[in-house]
Amino acid sequence: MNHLLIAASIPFLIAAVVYFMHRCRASLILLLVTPAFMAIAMLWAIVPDLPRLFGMMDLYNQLLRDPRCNIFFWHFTIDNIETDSVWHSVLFVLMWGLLLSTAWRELMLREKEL
Amino acid sequence: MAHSTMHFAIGLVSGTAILLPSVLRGMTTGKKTSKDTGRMLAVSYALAFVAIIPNLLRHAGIPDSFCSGWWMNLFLFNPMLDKLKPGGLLIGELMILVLFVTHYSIIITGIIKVSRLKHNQPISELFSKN
Repeated sequence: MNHLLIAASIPFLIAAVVYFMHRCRASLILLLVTPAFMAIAMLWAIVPDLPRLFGMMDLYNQLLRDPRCNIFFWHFTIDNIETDSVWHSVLFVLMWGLLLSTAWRELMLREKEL
Repeated sequence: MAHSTMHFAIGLVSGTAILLPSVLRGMTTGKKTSKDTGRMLAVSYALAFVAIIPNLLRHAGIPDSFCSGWWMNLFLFNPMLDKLKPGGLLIGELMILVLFVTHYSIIITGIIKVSRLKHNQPISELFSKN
């Protein structure tokens, strides 16, 4: 969960900065690009874990000990220091909830402007 | 015992299933959909929360005998589902993902529709406007 949370939070925070710079209004392109980049970032972050999914345990164990895996959003470092906490899930749900509510707010504002 | 993500997903599915027809009806008849969509989101996530109340109570240290009692079926058949489908973390996560994408797509479709009504513009021009 740490990997996914950290990876998704990077495009999310960039989008949040853009959103506030535009006086809390979101363009359609921002609303489409943000979740897409969050998904891509999450996938990138778990690349070293994917061999396990496909049963390639040798490659998985090799990547597990390779510090170069830090290019996948600090995957190696996180694996060495991570702790399990229910707050990771809470923060993750909160992030998706904020994204959903921002999109809904934009729909509401645009309907009011009609 | 079913995983809490499974219960959460069941709550989301229930709320969406109840209110999705009214959202779709509004979309097809050209009415404003933000209120219906907002109601659907609120009910879906509220039901998802209700569905995991027994899990939260268990997590808070309430005895399992109480949290698995038949009366807990009030919370979207939580103990019944525990008996029927043990585990289900992956299915639950997939269901939540599908529902999130569905909710988000409905909102984006609504925004595209409103923009087209406002500017009477083709869909290709929407992406350059705020």
